[in-house]
Amino acid sequence: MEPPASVIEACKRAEPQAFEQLVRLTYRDVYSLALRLVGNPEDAAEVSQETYMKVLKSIKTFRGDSKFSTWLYRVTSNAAISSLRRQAPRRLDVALEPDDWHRIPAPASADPAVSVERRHLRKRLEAAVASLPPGYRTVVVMKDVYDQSLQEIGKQLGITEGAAKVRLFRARQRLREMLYEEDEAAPPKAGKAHHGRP
Amino acid sequence: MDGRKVDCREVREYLPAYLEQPQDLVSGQVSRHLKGCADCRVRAGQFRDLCVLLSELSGTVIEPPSALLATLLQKVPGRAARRAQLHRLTKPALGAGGALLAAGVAGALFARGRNRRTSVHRPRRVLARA
Repeated sequence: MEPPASVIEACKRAEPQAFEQLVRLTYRDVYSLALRLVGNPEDAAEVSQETYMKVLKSIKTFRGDSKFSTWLYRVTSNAAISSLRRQAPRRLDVALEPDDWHRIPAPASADPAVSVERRHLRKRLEAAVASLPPGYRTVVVMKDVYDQSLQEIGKQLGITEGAAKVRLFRARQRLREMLYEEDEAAPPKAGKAHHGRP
Repeated sequence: MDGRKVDCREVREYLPAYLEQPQDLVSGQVSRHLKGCADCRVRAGQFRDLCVLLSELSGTVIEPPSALLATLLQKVPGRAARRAQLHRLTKPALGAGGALLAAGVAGALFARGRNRRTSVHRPRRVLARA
């Protein structure tokens, strides 16, 4: 959610009430992005805290050239990438992949209502995105979900724009396989754990 | 893929990029292939659907744990308050300190100027007496 300009200006003057308002207005979006990038709730909560600490320090540098939410998303993704790097410097390397990434189950039964099916598909997509290797997940979330440019993503991840593009396309391939090929193959039984090993 | 027919394998490798580069030279061949290949058409539809679904996720909020807001409100505005307080405290102190420093420097310069004047005049007096 885009906070009003008056709140942002008050935050620049370091008014605590304004910061409180800013947090209340934006923390859900910040947490959602953080969780989509780091893949687990505890780390996402930590990333959210770090994000606001950075916002507190650097909000004076926000000039309003872009929307505040775009700036905030950039701060959040930077904090999330730093967190991923701290946990395991090589986790962002695409060579390390969870061996159960392809085990997102298909729905137990098809729902006739399109909107319900769509919601269900979105839920499965969230799970599929979470199961991607971090190197793929960060790129697809930043590009296809939050519409950041490949150039910007490359800069944040320390890779070339071309490398970011390759990761993006591979991530999309995997997501398509996870979402649609499980449907075509054998649908697992209802109640099976999402990320369980065979 | 120049000037020849592309096969399903080539098209499928290209599909993740196809949706955002329809103006690409290759896309003419891909489009022709898709017209005649139902399987690849289904796959292309899935990619299109996937991209739409992904873009829809940005509007879908994942509800944070209930304790998060309380933690953030405890830490962030509190720190902002401390920063603001520090700013308020240090600003006048810095101002007063700056004024004292300026007065000190001015005083030192004045005294040095006086000393110079006297040291320059002394030999003249001596010369005059001589």
